[in-house]
Amino acid sequence: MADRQTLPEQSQRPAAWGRWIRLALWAAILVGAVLLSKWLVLILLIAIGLWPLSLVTGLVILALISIRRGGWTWMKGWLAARIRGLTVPALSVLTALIVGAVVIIATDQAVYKALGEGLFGEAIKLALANLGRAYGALYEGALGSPVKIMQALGKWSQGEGLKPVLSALRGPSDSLVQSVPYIFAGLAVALGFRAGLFNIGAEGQIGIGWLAAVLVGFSVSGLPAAVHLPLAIVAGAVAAGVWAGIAGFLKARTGAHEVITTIMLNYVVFRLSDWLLCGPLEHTQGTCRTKEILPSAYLPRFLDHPVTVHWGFVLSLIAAALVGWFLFRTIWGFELRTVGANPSAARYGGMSVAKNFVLAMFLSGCLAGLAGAAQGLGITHNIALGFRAGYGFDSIALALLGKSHPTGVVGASLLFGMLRAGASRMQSVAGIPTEIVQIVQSLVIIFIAAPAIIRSLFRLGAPKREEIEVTVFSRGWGA
Amino acid sequence: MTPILEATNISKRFPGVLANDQISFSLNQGEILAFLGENGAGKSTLMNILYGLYAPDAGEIHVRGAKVTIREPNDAIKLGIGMVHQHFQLVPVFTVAENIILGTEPVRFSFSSRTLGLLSGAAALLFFVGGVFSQSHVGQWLVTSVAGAASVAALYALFFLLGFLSRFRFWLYVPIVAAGSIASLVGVAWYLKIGHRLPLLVSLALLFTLASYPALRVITTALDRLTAAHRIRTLSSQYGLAVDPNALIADLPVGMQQRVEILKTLYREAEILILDEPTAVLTPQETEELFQIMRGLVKQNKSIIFITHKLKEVMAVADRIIVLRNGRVMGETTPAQTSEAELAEMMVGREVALVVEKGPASPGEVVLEVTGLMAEDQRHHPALRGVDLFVRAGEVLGVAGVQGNGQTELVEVLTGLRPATGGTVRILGQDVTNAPPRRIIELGVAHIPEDRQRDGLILSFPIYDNLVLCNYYQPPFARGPLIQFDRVYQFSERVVREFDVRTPSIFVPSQSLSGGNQQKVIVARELSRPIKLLIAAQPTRGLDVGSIEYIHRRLLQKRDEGVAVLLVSVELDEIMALSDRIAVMYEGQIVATVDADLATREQLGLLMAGVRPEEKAQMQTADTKGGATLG
Repeated sequence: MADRQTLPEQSQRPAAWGRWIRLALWAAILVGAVLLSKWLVLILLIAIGLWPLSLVTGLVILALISIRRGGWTWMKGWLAARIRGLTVPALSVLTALIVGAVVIIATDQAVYKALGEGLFGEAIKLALANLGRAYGALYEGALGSPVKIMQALGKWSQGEGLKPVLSALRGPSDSLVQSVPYIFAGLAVALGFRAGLFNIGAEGQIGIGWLAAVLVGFSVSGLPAAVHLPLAIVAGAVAAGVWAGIAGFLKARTGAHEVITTIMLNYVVFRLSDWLLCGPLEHTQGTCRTKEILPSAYLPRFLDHPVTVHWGFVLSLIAAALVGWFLFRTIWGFELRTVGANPSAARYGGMSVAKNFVLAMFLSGCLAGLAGAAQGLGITHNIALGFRAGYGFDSIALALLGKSHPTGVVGASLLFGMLRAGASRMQSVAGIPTEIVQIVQSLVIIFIAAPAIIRSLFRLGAPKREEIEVTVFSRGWGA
Repeated sequence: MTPILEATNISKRFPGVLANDQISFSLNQGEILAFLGENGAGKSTLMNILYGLYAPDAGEIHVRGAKVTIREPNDAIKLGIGMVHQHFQLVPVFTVAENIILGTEPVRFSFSSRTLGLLSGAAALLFFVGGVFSQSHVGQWLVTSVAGAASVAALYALFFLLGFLSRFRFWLYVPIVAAGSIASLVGVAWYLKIGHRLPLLVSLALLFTLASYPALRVITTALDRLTAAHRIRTLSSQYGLAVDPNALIADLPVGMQQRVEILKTLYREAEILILDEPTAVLTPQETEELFQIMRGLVKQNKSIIFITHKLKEVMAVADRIIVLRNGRVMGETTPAQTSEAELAEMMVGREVALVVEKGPASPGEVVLEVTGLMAEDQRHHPALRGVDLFVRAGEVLGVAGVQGNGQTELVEVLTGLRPATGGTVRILGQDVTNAPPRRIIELGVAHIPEDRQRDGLILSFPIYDNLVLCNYYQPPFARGPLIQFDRVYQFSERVVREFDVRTPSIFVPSQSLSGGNQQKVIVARELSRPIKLLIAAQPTRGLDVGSIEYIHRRLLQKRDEGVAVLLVSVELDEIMALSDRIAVMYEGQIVATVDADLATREQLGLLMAGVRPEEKAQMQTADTKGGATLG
């Protein structure tokens, strides 16, 4: 209103036909990407598996770009900007793995036995061997074995088929699969944090979303996949959104604190699902699980077994981009963030605090519901009592780790996905319980939540003033 | 005579600023030394160095001629330096006495020979009288009397011994007292030849030991309290600081709370008092009382460092004035040698208009009309009890009053942030009673909120976000649901220049700005919209002379453009300088509306204090030109 005079940008806008051409180009790229998705995912998985190679390639590309942008100084600045934020998380993971190693050795019976017999050298050898086996399995479970991938690629080039490549890529694939619910649920909690709400109910909302998506998946028949699948996904999202919206509504209307209400709603979901899955919805007596969904509601996989990466991964990345766009580019996101950062100022600026609480909880629930839908439609194809795998509670940590920013949440989710994928392999191969990985995960969170520990351990020095970012995650009990 | 406090070449550097640059000064015993300077001139840094909160990078401090190093406030307190912070450090739910003794070594009630004499004398008399009635011989009477006195004295001494021991930890007390009491009981048992009763006696002794500890703790604490309260009373009568030691802090007005803070420093035997912006929270009357207290303290040889950015106060109370600017001493003078205008120039570095010139108002139609407005405060007590007022286009209506008489609630009701429980608010002829804030904003109402950090800014957001807080959803800042950040940036760059917000860029979070610049961000946001009514609540609170002058100019500029301005302020000077009409608020009502040209400070001060106009008319029969109209 105050600034209506014509701005120079308007004259520089591309002409109408130019915009159409651009649009067509983007559409073509999109269609191409979907058609080639199988190969793109394969390349992505190989790139993850051979990450040192990818890193070098990336650096070379960066160097090529930097030639045009301003040489070494530009590249150094670019890298420094990326690395600065990653120092503490990376060192946290390292420290957590070291502490985890100590735990692995300290819980090894064989080591104690050798020590008891006075064989110190033997004990050390045993401890290191066990540790090597455990962390080797963890690595292979999370990122695959580079040697095996190279060998498989060699065989493939000699025309032996894709099968060995796929088995070699199982690790990276499992990591991505595990990170899908993490990304969705982490985004859910992060969005809540941005609005000043502490959504502890992600676990229950995942259950609602899963249930609704699966219900639509097996009960609605006769639809083509292009209609059925989106319908099931939307059903999962909306059901969970409405469920979480109850907490938002209660907060807006009565001031009931969302921590309490979401925890209680969790219990309602848990007991409701106990009854539904072992009662009315049980398919075969004694299994406590529902019918399989129809194939038209499957979230398709890109490749064959054992690479189980499905379209849910792409959806989760799209969701992250949308959340970022929503929060930082739209007026709704501005309102949401303002209400979260300072409700008094939001009221002063003419925003409705109550409306934004309900909206934030609804959207947060939708995202959590998508996590459940992705699991139900992409992995299990049904819902069983085992849906309570802790993704919802871990997601609180993910939002903290990712500083409530979509990019950060995706990064943290990938890390947790890798740890989770690696943990199961560590258990099956090295016989180390998955709880060790949970210890490592918890330590990572502790170190990141208390960066002073890492800073003093590695003598990083105090952060610069401008680096200290105070994020208000949630308000106190009274507000 | 050596100065009681002397600082030489104090320097302190913070990242990016030299807060103190080779500051030297001396404070003589029994004088009031004022430090005058704008926000950010380095006054607070200097005082925090003196009080041990910061360590200086360079420089020396001498107290009573001896070089000292002050590492922490406790060092300062030991040297007799006391500080009254701008934000009081009091616990609201504690009593005055509790707050004063909080954190100090408890004052121990001490062994008093006078009490001992009194007690044993009384015992002697009592036992003498008892002897007279029960015995037949003068000698026996005397022996009884002496024995009585001696046993009372012994009990008193024992109580002190035990009281002394009970100051130690339980596990130290128990063995000592148990050993002592068992030993004496064994002695008694041996003397009385009741050895077979020994186990019973020993268990009694142990029981006594265990039970006596908490009892003694309770008694000695209570006695300590009494002693402390006595000392507080002595101090407050000595220095004329009337305060009830048993009152709760929460029940006391701000001026009284400040006295408690001063008492706290005196209680810690401070000789040098540092008062950091003590008048920022006081009413004019309270300020005058504070000055009385300060003069009284100085008369009794205390020395005071007085920090302020208010020129009038310096001229009224200081013996010597040191002006700071950008961390450097700009000059030293005395009130007799200087003038307010000269001080302002020294402080700001350029000529400053202390009272912004304003032409006559040309009021137009009524923009804001309030009738019988009622509202409740946070605790659901009535805060507005029927407010009537109107503001016309092109005039400034100043609402004067002591803090807490309903001004905050009035502004909140007018802007839609607080529900009205009765009455009506009309803006431009439209009834907006209890309308949502956005509707009121869209009618063309600008609001400079009283609490700028709570309501006016989102501190963690960058400046550009704060500049569009009220119209982010309208073109040109939004197109559909999308925020056009290039427009927002352009707009922000422009108003930041136009309103002289001192900031490295529009991308820094608003919490990194100084108070004055934060206020300028708000003013820039509110005044860069097309508005009809401006509601400004305490627009210059806590700001320095330069910023005040700037904001005053802007307000008057808006008035001259035909905007109706409602100015709410507790600064009487501000009200008088800017207003065309002055409404005085007292206990939720407008008690009088006065033409600004005819109003006097005294008259307004009385109205603010709740003296009703008719009483005042009697008191001021001589002053016939008082143009007060009944509100």
